[in-house]
Amino acid sequence: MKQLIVNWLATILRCDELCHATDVISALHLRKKMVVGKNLKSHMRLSALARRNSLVSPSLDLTKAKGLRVRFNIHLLVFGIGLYGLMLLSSCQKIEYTVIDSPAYLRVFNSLNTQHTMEAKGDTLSYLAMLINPELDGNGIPVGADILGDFLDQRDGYAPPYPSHIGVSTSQHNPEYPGKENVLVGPVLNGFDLSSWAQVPSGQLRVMFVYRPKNSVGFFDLSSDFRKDILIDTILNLESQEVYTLNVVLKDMLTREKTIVMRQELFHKIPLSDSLVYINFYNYSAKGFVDADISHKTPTGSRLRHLFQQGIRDTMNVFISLYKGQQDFINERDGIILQNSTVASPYYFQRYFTTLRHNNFSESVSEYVSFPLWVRDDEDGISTDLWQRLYFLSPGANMDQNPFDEHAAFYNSLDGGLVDNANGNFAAINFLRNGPKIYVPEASCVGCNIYRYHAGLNFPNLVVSIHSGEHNPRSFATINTVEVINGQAYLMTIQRQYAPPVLY
Amino acid sequence: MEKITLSKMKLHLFMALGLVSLLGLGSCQKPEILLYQQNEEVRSVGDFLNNNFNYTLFSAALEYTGLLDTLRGVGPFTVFAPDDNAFNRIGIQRPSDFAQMDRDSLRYVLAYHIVPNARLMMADFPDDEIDRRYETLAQSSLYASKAVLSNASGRGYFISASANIHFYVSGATVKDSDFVLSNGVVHTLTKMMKPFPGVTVRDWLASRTEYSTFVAGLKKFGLWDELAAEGPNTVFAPSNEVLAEHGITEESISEMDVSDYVGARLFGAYIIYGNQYFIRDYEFYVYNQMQHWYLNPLRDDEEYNQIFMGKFYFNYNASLDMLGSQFFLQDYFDATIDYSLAISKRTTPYYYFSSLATDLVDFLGGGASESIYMPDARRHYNVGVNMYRNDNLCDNGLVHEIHSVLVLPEEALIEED
Repeated sequence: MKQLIVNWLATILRCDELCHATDVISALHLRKKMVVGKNLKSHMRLSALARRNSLVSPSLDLTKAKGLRVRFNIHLLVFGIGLYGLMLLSSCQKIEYTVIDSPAYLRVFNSLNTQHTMEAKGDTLSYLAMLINPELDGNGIPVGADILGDFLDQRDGYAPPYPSHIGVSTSQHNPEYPGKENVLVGPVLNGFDLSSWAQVPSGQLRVMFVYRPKNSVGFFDLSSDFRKDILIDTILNLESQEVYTLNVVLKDMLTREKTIVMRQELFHKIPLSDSLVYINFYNYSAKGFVDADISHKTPTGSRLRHLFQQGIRDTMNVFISLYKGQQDFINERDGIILQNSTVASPYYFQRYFTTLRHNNFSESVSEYVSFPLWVRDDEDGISTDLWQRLYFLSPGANMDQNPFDEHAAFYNSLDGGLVDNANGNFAAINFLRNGPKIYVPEASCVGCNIYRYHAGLNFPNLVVSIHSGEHNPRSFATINTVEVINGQAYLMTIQRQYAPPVLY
Repeated sequence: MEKITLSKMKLHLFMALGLVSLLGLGSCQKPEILLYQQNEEVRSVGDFLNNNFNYTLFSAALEYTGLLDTLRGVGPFTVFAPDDNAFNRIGIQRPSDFAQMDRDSLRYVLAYHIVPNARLMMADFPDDEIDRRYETLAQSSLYASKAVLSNASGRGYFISASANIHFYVSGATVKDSDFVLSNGVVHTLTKMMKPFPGVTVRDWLASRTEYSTFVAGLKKFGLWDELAAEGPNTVFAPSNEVLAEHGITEESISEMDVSDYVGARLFGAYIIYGNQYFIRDYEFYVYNQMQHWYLNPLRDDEEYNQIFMGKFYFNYNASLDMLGSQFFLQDYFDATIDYSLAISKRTTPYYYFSSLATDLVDFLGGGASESIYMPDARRHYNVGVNMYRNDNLCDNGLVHEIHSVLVLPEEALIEED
């Protein structure tokens, strides 16, 4: 048996029966080298070896061996090319990119934020799905759409310039469209960051908003019973490369009619200085909201947190105060206590800013008003600890003789919360921290540790201060929009492009 | 060099194949991998209910009406099963008690507890939504309400409760959920749902003699007919004994002169027009919206309001004063927790903003309890003393039982200006 194998190997290697084992092995070794490296020398060694041992007939000469080698090489070559080609082809994938020609930029907010109280039990929970260019089946139930904005929850208080809620989100609820959706978004247009605006095809679009149950099933996977409740079905005209912001709002408190307000933004077209902070204001509250009884606006017994919850009157004067100094310490339970804020400039203390008019049917754009980023003479032009406060006051009262207390009585005997006796004539916003309550030391008793709650709605600072290049922090001005809708105000911030940071 | 003959070629081929096949034998091993074997002996819903000590009465009722075999069949079914305790509370102790009941109406009620063609786990019911309708085997809809409690909802309250999800179907609380079986899923209820098909609120009241005084009062003041209209309305019906305690009987009603009394207050106080409320809806709104009480101005009576609320505890931390406090909610699986309906000139419950005794005069009937939130009252009532007599679901509204008089005749006199 062993002899048989040796004979077989010997024949393969062109040795005959007299082939010695060691020579076979060394021949094998050399042969391997020959296959891999086309080593002429080893080939010659093989021949020499063969000749020495008379393993091969003298008739085996180089050419023949060369022929053998060539044959081998051709095989190797073909095999090698084939393998390489296969590798090349398999790694080649064609990725389909969605491209929208001549897009318009759209941002959608679900601003149906009236509270679901027990008295209004019949109201549907405002959890929507937005369908653009939907396809309906025979019964009028949507079964497909070009663009789907699903899980559209009520709007968040702060709409950031770029979709930062993607990174911190733990649920599928989307506070805006595009929000967390993975869709094409706007570029930096004329220096303004539009990454929170989705690209949609321009021209005529059929837009449909449908109520959907608040669970994690995708809209088209819901049973058809749950896709029937259509809220709004309308046609919008969007022009190419224009920026639009759309709000779904309650139009009338009594009839509960709901509608869409879409405005075409202008901030990328008007000359805006980069050392001024701009704001404009809208009031998209429902008709009759401020006059309605409090039990229709907030769940009875639940405490008010800020003065907008009662609503604001149809015409309000807006006043601005600028402060410097943001040092605070965290209150044990639920807020911050301001330590060292001072008025930035006497010119910017409760100064008249603009007038806010109720306009939830018009699609006009409010004018932008501004305040400077650098207020005092001693600013370094790099960073500032400026923060802002806005007051909304009915015409007829002025800030000097304001009958309302911004440190409104915080009802402290029960679970807290303020008693709003302003009836919609007064409200305040602090642009300092997003969310936490703000307490200020009682002015009349210095060092007493008595703090008064400030009844303002709290938003992030309009001045963005971040680490930029060699400056940490550096302050940047922004463009902002404040929308007062029913019992809540909302802030939308847009960032602009600056020159790249100076790096060391 | 010897020539390679054909036979040698064959030999080589043969040897090569032989070697290769040896390789094949060597590397091929088949180890036994034990995969997790799912239990193929999962029972059907019918068998589960039949063999479970907690549902003996429910399964006896199902068997009596022939539905148990349906539940053994091809599903999927979603079954809301009241446990034995729920039946005991309404006086059914043994399976034989069902034999005395009308089979068809019992069948309807039991079919109302089954949602066919769907296996709905608790997570499949939408969050924060009240009264979403699901078609049952009885061809009418049940109302599912699920409140999801979230401490991170930014409300600024700290809430301590034993469960974060509060799930109610047609007024009954779902105690345990998601028992998955081969042809469906079972959720446990704390009491039976009570649908009355084809019966309006008016018919329901008329057919029950224990409310005859109340019915007489409604008829006298012209509030009777609209209880057969579309509604929906919610009626809190006082029984004859309760009314008689304060001198309101059918004779006294027949002697009343309609023009002397504000009927909308005297008897209209017991009706909430325009909406149908299960008792548990109050809990839903407490958990979902932190709504402390329900306020409804009385129809046709400008002075008084209806306030509906339940009992919960409040823990005020005096040392922290204005900085918010903890707020505890008691869990309501028990029928003895109080709910109350009060008639008041104020829009807040007594003791909410003040505890002046003089404010009491603004309250007429109302529930009493040691809790500071209950609208204090001169007459005691509790809607919730017997939860099992509430949540009677009629075609055009709901009827609950109330255990006290809300308004005395002398309080409803029209004042002469």
